[in-house]
Amino acid sequence: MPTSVRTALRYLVLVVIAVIVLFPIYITLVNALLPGQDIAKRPPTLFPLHPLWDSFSQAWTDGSLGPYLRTSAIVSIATTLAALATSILAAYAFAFLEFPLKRVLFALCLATLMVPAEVTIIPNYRTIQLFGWYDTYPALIVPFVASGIGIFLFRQSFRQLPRDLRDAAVLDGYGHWRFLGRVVLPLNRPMVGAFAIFAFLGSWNQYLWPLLVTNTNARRTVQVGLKQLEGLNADQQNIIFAGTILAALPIFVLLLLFQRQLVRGLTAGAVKG
Amino acid sequence: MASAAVSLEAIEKRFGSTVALVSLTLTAEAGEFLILLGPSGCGKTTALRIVAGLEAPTAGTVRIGDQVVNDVEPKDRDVAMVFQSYALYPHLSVRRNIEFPLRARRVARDEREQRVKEAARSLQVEELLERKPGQLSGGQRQRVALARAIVRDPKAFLMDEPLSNLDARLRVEMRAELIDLHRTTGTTVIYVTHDQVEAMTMGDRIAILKAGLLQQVGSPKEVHDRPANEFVASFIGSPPMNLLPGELLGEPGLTIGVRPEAFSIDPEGTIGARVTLVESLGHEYHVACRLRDAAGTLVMVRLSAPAVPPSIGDDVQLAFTGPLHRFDSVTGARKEEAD
Repeated sequence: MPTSVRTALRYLVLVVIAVIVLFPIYITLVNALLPGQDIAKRPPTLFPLHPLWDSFSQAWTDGSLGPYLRTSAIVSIATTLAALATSILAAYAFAFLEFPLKRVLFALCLATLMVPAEVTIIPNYRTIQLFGWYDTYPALIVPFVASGIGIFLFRQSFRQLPRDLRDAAVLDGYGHWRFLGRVVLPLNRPMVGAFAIFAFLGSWNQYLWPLLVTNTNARRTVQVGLKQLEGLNADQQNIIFAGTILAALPIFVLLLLFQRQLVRGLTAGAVKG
Repeated sequence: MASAAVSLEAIEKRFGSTVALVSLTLTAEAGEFLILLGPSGCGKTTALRIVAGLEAPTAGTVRIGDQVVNDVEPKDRDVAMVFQSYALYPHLSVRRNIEFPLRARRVARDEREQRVKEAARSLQVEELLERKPGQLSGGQRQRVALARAIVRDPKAFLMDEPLSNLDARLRVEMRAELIDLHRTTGTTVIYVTHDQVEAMTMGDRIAILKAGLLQQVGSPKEVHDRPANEFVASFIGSPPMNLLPGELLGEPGLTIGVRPEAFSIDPEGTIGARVTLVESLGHEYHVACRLRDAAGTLVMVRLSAPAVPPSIGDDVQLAFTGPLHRFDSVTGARKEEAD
């Protein structure tokens, strides 16, 4: 097969996959712009001739998305920063320090990856209640500040650093903190970026946990808040779709900004630098 | 000049059940260029890391100058190390790399700039100061690594096979530069290598290690001319010394060492052999011969260029033209009285 044909075929396959991935997002946008009663129409409308841009402002005010987004932002940013800090410090210890039971403790960290999140919901809920944290920020943040996968990823990444670099820094007079700050982290920036995005995404998209541990609008995150829109009439379905898009917008912007970091982080170590 | 003597006294090092160093006692005098030579895994790098403080000895005393440094942090030992991998920080410019140890010691900015400039000048990397290590060739990286070491003006340089990653030509060039650097700074150097040519050409003295045991310490000429045992005899010199069973010369119980250049091909010679290989190096020939003894011992003969080399398969007679070395065939130790 000539190269040009093969390239064309490859692009065709990629286009098909892209359409499959993007179609739900597109149809959400279309539905947000259609009058509510047209959404259920068959055959479905694929292109709104008279887009209703009002749905977005309506979703913003009716769903009071502003405060929900703010709560989500606080929770996600705090969770991400805390998870970064704990993962990096623990990974540093596992990668560079010698201490008793190191292997056992690392195995325990890995073991947390094998426990489904659902299993921990009840014990975590009871702990939160015990601490009197129900319907507070700590309830939304604290259970997620330590990440087994974060520790694992950073430790693997740190171990790629040549031992000579550590030795050179020790002889140059750099202690652990300065070595971490001046050498380890700058050299692992793609990994830090990628993990930060994953942690943020994970936190932003949480639904079940925030639903369980909050009962006032002031502490509800945007994913929970969207539920409020469900109370609208059937002919206002477009507003739910508009709200969904608004809730996903910050993530979309974040991905656009850090796309390169994310891809580099995912392929880090795949090829020799 | 801050140069200081570095001594190891009865150093033992064990990693679990593996013994890396056995009662190593060795001193590099102030200003000396001391080579630690030996095959891989002989403990030479471990010894260097113990001096640097990167490993703690299981037993024994490390001294830098007059001070026992066993409990002194690596950064406070005032030694600079040069690594085989260069160990440059890839995310920092050459300038920042050289500056790194000075920043760690909070040297004032003006002095820092001055010292970086001097170090860069003496290693001819001034033009590279704003580049990143990834944009440099191997030779340039090694120069930067050396600049980072000299910028500190330490009491001693510890060099761990610093030239091993360079190509042959560059290695010869850098060898000369290192000797020059040592001469101008006058700083003690402990230099680890497995390359006996480096050892012979650079060192004031050579310490030869095998399996964690010190075999011999001496000037290049001493270890070449009077090897303390069979191991040193066969490790120093290229091609290595031939070790023949004493029975061949009527000296049972001994091993006779003959350097390849101590043989000649001579019709009057007393040892019959057949040529199995002739290698030409341009200025000399290496001729491998199989002796006509029961074991068919293989020996290497070195002939200088004007000589006409034999051909493969020729029957030749070998004669001794240089000194013979006698070693106890059980212990391998040199038999002095026979010299």
